[in-house]
Amino acid sequence: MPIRIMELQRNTSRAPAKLHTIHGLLRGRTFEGEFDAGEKTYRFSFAPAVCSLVQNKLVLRGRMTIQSPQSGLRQLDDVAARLIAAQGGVAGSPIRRQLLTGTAQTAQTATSDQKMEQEKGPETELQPGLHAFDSPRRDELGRPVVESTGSLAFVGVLYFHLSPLDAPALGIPMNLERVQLGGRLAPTDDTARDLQLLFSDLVAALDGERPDEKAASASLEIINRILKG
Amino acid sequence: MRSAKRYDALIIGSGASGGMAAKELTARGFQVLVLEAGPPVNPARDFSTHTWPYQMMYRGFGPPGWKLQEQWMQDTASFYSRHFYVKDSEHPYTTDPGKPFMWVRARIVGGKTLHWGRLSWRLSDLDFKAASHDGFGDDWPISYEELAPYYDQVEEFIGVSGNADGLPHVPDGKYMPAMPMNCGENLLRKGAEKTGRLAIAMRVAMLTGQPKPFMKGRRKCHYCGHCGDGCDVNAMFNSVASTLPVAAATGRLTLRPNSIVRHIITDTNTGKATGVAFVDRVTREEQEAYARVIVVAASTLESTRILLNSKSRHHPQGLGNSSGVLGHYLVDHFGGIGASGFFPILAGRDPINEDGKATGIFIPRFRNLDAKTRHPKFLRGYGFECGSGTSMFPGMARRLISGFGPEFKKQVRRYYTAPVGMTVRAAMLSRFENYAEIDPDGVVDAWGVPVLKMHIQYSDNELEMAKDAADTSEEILRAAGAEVVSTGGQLTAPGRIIHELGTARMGNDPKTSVLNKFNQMHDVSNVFVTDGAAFVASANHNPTLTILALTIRACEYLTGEYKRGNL
Repeated sequence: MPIRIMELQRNTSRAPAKLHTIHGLLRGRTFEGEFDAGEKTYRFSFAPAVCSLVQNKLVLRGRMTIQSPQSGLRQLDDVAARLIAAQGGVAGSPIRRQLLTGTAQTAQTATSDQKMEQEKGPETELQPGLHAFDSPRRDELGRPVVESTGSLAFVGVLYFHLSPLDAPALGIPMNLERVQLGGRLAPTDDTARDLQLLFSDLVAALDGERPDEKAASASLEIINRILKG
Repeated sequence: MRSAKRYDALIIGSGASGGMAAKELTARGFQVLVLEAGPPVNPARDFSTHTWPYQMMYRGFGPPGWKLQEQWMQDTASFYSRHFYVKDSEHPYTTDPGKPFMWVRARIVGGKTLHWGRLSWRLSDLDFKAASHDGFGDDWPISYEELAPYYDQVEEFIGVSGNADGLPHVPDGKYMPAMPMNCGENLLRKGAEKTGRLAIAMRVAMLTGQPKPFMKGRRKCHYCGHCGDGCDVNAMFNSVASTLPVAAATGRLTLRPNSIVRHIITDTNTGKATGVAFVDRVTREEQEAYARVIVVAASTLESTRILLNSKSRHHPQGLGNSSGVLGHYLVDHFGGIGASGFFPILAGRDPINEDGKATGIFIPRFRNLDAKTRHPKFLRGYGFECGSGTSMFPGMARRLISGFGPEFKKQVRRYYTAPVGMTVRAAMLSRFENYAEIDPDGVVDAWGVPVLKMHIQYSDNELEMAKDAADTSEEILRAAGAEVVSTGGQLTAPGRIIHELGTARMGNDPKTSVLNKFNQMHDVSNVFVTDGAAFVASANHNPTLTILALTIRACEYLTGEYKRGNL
């Protein structure tokens, strides 16, 4: 007997639906992604030009560009993105390298060992669930370390609240008053890699077990330098 | 918008527990509505069991970077099975700096049963009464004796292959024939025995014998080795092939996919549950459905998320959270520690057709079983999942063999049956300070539903256990005559083993637990939580068999209470 599927009435409400979240990948200095609204797909980019700390929260300000299938490119300047939360990374962390500026004390020079670590994925060929054993690291008591913690820790996603967006100006038939931007940090270029390390350090300095305003300010200064190009 | 109909029972989730609850309750005469957050599954379209790499774009690896963009936390998703898993970009959650959690989720009819590891172990009183054994934490409010009849029912229904090994801490059940060990696994078994440990066949929920009459549409396993891509002959247990069709055959099941539950609705006068509010995943329409009893089986953390989001005047901290325990005692197992290598004695042997056996052998827990095996540095214990041989893409080539061309291929063939690996599956202590909460900063998912923030990290107990496991695995591998290539490793981040458990635990005391011994909420009598959230402790064994047994037991109790008018 086939499974009966429950049917409910269609919603006839005319109020524009809310766009809750959009999601972009950091490429260079810009978050790029796409989202669906009104059965259409829109491409977007958010290019922060400056960052600051407001009430101990990171705020990026910059240009939001929307590519609409009908209206072409539309832009809004001075869009604020306030960091509200983060998600720590697990899988492959970035290759740690000296920043081009040469001033960041928190970024580490890549070693061949660290580089090797980036290139090894989980080993699952033998049996489902088996995992790589080929990066043994020990803590000061000689115990194995936990992946993506300690010196291997990094932030994988930054969640921002965007300042209210002007939906008609952007040509989007949705309520954009409170949109959340998920900024995924999975760098494929040196600028994004540097920014991931700096954002990671900044998040650790602001929300870690031992908040460190001085370290946060140092990271912020370098991020601003990179955003200015 | 609301459904006019009031169902007898509404089940949230269609995975292992939700599917079993649907089967049990429809069989007992209940009109049941199952709400599943994900899309329906069409095996003919969605399973790629026998798809060869050359039939896939990018040889089955997917376009470069696809996983980093959409499914970076879905560890076991491949390009073949990606549609069984959520897109992380739509389903965020948050963590503290330096304390990662990997949350692997399947929002689809059938849930994680479509690609689960199938290992089916019973827990014993060493697990249920662990606190009495070693003094840490709390005992479960049930004993093995109470759950054993339900384990029997589950094994009979889903079909489990394995042997009766006679180990009191890994109780035997009702099994179909075990999958035979290959040469490497037999060598490893002998090596383990030399060190005083045992190695047994894995017990897996796969049909190795003739399907029983009620297993309609299911066939014997033909050892193709692609269980995680959807089993097209339904040899492996999953909800879509097993429990949901049986429930549907009663004529009393209504299933609604694409239904993301926001919260449980409660009566403003009595505080009892009356239904759920949900949003359609595709149309984003807000809807409601009503029932006399709610069974929450959305998976450990999704269930807890729904309960925490169900705040009301009667339940200001979330539904069932008068104790303040909801969300706490989050555990996973850990892996990532072990050893791997190869058997020189098998190198150069003719390759044989044994690479489709999607299981291996298991070295059961051997620490802290009694005073004689007590370890001075940690409580509880661990086992090893082990295997030998190679599958379609010989991973050993990357580490054992260099070069390219004909000589490389020759070497791959030479070592094809020789690799061996062991990886730990270890208990994590249930601690109040490991918990999930609704993100305090207001992060939401793509449907505007508040998400979870995870706070979890290992204690010294797990780290000491990992150290012991690293040393022991190397010892066993060497005793077996293997050449050891790598040892140690890193502990998997919490979540990666996909055995997240706890957060709405059972107990006899409503002040320290969310559910009673029948998975019924202390605070709200017509709400039952039947998935892994109910676990008091993790043990070191895969949890699904226990989840299924608890679900049957809960449904039996629920039926009695319903008939007595107590719900």
